[in-house]
Amino acid sequence: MEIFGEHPSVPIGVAALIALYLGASRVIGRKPTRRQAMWFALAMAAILYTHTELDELSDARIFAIHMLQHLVQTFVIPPLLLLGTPGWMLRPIVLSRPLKPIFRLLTQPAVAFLLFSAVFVTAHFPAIFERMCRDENFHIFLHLLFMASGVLLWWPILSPVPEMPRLSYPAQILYLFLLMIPMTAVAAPITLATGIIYPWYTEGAHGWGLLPMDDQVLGGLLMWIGQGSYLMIVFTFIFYQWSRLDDRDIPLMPASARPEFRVLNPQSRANG
Amino acid sequence: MAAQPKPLPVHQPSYLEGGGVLGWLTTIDHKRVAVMYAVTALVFMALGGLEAMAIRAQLWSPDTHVLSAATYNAFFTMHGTTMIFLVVMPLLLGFMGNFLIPLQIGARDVAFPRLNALSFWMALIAGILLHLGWIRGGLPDAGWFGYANLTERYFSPGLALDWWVVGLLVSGTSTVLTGLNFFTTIIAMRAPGMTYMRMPMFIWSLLVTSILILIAFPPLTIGLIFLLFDRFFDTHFYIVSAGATPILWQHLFWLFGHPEVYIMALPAFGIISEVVPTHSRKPLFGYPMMAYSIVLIAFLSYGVWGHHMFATGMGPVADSAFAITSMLIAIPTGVKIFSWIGTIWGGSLRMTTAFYFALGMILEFTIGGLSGVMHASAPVDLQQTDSYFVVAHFHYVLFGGSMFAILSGFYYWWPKITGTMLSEKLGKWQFWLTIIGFNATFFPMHYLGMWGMPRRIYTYGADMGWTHLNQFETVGAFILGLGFLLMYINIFRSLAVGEKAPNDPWDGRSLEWSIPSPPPAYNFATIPQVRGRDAWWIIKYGRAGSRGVAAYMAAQASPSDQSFDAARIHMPAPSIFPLVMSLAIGLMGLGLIIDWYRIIVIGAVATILSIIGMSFEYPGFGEESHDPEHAPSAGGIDVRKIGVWSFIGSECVFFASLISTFIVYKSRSIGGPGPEILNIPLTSLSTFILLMSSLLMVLALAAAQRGDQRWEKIWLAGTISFGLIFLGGQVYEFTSFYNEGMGLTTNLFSQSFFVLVGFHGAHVAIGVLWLSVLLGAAMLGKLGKSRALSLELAGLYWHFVDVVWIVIFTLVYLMQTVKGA
Repeated sequence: MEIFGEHPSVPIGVAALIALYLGASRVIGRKPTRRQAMWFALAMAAILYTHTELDELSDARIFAIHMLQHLVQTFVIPPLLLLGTPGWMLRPIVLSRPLKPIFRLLTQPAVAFLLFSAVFVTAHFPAIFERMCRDENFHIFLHLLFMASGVLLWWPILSPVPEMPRLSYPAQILYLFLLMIPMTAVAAPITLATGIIYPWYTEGAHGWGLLPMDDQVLGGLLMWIGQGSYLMIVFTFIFYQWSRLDDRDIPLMPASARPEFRVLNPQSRANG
Repeated sequence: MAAQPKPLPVHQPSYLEGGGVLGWLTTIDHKRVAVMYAVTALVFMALGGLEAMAIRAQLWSPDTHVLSAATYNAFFTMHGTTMIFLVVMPLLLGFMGNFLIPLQIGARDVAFPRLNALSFWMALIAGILLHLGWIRGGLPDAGWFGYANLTERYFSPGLALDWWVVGLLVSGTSTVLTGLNFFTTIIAMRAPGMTYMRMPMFIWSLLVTSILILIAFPPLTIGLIFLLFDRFFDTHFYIVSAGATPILWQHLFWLFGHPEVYIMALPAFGIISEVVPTHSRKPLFGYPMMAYSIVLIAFLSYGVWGHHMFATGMGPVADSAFAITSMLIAIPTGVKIFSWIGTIWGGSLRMTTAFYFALGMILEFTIGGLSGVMHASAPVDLQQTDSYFVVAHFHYVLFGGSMFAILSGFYYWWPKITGTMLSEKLGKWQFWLTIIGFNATFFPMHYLGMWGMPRRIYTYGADMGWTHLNQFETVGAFILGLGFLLMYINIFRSLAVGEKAPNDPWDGRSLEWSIPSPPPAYNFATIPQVRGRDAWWIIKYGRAGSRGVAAYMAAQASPSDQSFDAARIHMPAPSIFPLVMSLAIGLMGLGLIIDWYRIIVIGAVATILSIIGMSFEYPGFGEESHDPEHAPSAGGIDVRKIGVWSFIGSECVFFASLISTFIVYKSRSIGGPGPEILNIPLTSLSTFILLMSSLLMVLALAAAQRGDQRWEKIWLAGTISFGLIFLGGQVYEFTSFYNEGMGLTTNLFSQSFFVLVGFHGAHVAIGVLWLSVLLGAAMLGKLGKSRALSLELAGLYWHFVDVVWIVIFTLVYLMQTVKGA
């Protein structure tokens, strides 16, 4: 793996993000917790990896790896970023006067959901996808768009800023459940297609010795089953949190304070 | 057995009393609606059971002719359709769900009682439509799955399948309305203190089931609409010669069909999860895991429909994918089995009939689950497809699972519903006859299937070696029939001479046992406070000890406003319109099928009139909500808003199915005009106008919320006229296409285009009507600030329709130009 290989923009971007992170911490004068720093480091590593090693394979016309790359960009990096960035670091930006209404609108669950779905569905249309494969700048733009809309998508679940809050646990589960609809809408036609959808993969050498058709099905399946399983694991975590919180028994109030005891008629007591 | 509740000091009239026949026809009480569901479902169950016995009689020996081949086809079709749509679902949802949701969550009714009555009457009309083939045109005979293209007019002439299509469309609509109603009720109307993690497991299962209904039924509706168009308007959605594929029906049908299996299984799991803890006198083992596995099953159920289609040749990769997801479902299901066993383990068991059936369900369902895992493996399934092995499997799941659970719940809740006890002795007899008859009928089918006996054949040869097991099965089927006969006898005996039931005969755990049997019309005189899981158990045996029950009873008997008076608990007024509207919808279907347009017109007029009538019945414009105790809800969101949102969710799937079909079919279209015919500049203009109408809607709502009636009217009128302009543009577009030679039936492109865009246009038209009614109310000065919500709801729908249009415009219109470039 050569870090400064074909895409110097990636390490430069990552370095800029790290500098921003450290700089913000320094300017505000607060340190992220150890856990947050770890999540952030993981996010940076994920960005670096998906855009070097995976990118090479994806450029070698392996569709499945390209789909894996998209998966990481939309489902792994954004949650890591949200977990790794403390609220106090974002607050000065997202709550600033000109930006607040925009962020407030964009982080509305319905808006975030629709935006992400629109980006994701549109990007897989043959015409757009082909252009992405052939035009490197457009490719970079789309990948950035994936990550940005991914951050919006995950905001209602992992928001670090209480002013733009997370959804309640049951709503989070419903949100993830509904997410399977656009995901399946993209993955199912790719998996079940009987011909090659994206001609790019039939031109030129195909990495790993995969046949283009098998590769396409594998990629479709990765999106379908892979994303599905991933969402299910996330949902399991959410459910666990929820059942712990919602389950707690409220301590019984002293009898005198309970409203129904005030209308208690001594003669009507049950005995035994 | 310490704290049996005392009878209430004041007389609380039961919901069954009073009203006469008209009272039942106009009722919107969830308990009466539930009872009517039960009565109709029990009638249909007798019918479906007799059909099954006729089928078994025909298979008694080789080459018999008790039934002709054609009648045999009709009977297995009607047996499946009846049992699924008219028996199991109505019993689980319409009957038990309806009766118990408000009682278990501590509410006075469901969120939309009138809609609930409408659901019932539509379900009844659907049942009648499905059976009108007895009178004219013959019974449907293409299997309950109605595989295309056997269902096309060419292969199935006559009325039989017309009854089937229209009946299922009405039935599906009724079920979606029920799902919407239940979802809203459970989300919004739980008693204070009942968090999600304190809901009875039956309520959990119904919550998830109602979400499944909302998302799973639209694909079926779309599939049926295509079939309707094929049969009545000469389109060719499933006709190969036009480039279409019959496999589309299978995808749509099983995309519905597999979640449907869980729609019938999850409530059954819920029932068992109520019966088992009560009869073990232990809390449900692993409650959070139980809830989790229900949700997980729902998640997974959308990724497994392909395992019904292994034999269609989807290719090895898709087969493997569906195999994996199907096998995964066994995990959460297994969790449930172990949780029930964990609950029973070490409990002090009370062996009533209800518990017998619950134990029977756990046993039989496990067997059905095991053969289900076998089907998940594609190569094994290829051997089993269309053999009796499959018949054995799904009867173990649907009869051994759902029906045993229904019987268990039936014996469990009967005292609460009627106020009388069923005979335990007859019940035990019924149980043994049922379980022996059931296994005798269906277990040998595993072997027959493995020996190669195919499904859906009306007879077989003597040399096949299947005779003895078939005779064994037929004997089993008649034993099973005898068991059900005992149930009907038990019902009549109980109603005639049954012992009077106490409030809490089984020492129950949830709130329905805290009120009289049968409950009063308003259920709870005082809405109870919930302090934990097993709310009623905590009141009985919690820290407050026996005083808990006394205090609770006192609160029920004399609510805090000292002048308790049953008549003062305001319940929504009865209404005749649900019945009228269902009859009108039935008339429309009837007119369509027997090709008598006058009836269609009468039906349509009556439908519109009853919608108008219903909206005037609603606590009128300008008045306060009818029941202040129910108006606020989860986080202060009005129940109507939750209802509209869940409707929108269901509509999303509806349009997604239409759009996917369009995208698949436009590239398969043969001959005739294609996407190049689309007029992008004109449509861009009408898109812009529709978007502007959304903006005006926002302005209208803002005006309404600040009480500015003048601008409210102006903006609203603007929204309506923009909507009308859009519709006008669509009419112009359609006519110009027609003049250019593209009619509905020209090719695959034209038919999927017209159906998709036409359905969207119909939605816009409905929105225009809705807004016009509101504008009328505003003109009368009845749409003030306090009613801004009415406008908001219409606005939600309007925005949704606009968003759908943006998607259609992008995918159907714009993407065509991108591709051409």
